[in-house]
Amino acid sequence: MSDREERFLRLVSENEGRLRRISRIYADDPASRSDLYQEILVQLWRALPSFRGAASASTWLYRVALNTALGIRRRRRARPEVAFSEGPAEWAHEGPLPDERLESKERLERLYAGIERLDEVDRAVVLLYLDDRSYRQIADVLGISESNVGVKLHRIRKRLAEWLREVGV
Amino acid sequence: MSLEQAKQTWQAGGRTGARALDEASLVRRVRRQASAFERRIRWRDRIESVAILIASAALLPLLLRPEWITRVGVAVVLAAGLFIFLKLRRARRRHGPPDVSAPLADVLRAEQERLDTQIRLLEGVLWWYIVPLCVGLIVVFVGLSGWSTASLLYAAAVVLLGGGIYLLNRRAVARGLRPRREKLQRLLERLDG
Repeated sequence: MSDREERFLRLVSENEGRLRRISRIYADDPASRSDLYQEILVQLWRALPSFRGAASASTWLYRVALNTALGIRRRRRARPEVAFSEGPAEWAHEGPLPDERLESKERLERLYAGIERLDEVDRAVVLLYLDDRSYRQIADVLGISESNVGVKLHRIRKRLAEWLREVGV
Repeated sequence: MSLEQAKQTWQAGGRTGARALDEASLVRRVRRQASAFERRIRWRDRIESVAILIASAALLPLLLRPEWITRVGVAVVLAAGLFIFLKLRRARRRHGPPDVSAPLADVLRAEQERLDTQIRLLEGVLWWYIVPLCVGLIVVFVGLSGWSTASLLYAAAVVLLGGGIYLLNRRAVARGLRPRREKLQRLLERLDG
């Protein structure tokens, strides 16, 4: 196995969850998510030889994945965005919860639904926040200042918290 | 659920979602897709050169015709073809492929500059693409068949075709490039704001 293949596989196996979460929040249906995930892997593979370690591996990976995801969305026909304040969408689950795991899964689904109501930039910010990235790392991935990250996060956290309260999560 | 709990839910969801990788097939598939992607890019870059080479090869023998007007027309078409080729190549090289590992804001700004160049090119397409080629093609035909009704009809057809190409380009700017540019601008404003 070549050095490039080894580095690629290590990168993917260490970050598979992150990559799937990015695909999940930037694509609307399972088929598109799978396509986006594949496209991110292809772009990671292509960009890997140019990774010199100037940024940390995770910053580099987030940049490639988010640029790919947003690039694909830009190329698609623009569709109207749903306002954050609109009521709960079709994901609301009204049946009883059989076990804790299902409850946790549902909580996660509602969290995703809340994130999907944000615009593309705010989705990236909240994704990085939930992935426990520091302000510095978020700023490096997005190419904005740390103070700007703080302002955005403050606004998004407030809206997200309101949303989670509203739907009773 | 507080945001701290949301964070925990989020990260736990990522852990349960992880699955074993079939390494060999993953690498095979990604290599295949990356090669296909690169082939598409190479072919897109080459197709213009191939089209210009074919058109030039077809027109070159006409430079040996005795009528000077035909030779002038062919020279105009060839010069226009070369100019178009160089102009498109310069525009492509100036911006290059996007660096997906750059920060998001840098990628968006680079994409915006690339779109601005494309918009400028298409808005001026009448002068650097359509008029020189149409004039050259009409002069070649007039040189070959003289001043006749057929020449007039041919000229009218070429002008109509040129007009159609112009309108299609205007439409591409209005319906494709400008909305994409506006979307990029909105994204940049959200990033900076």
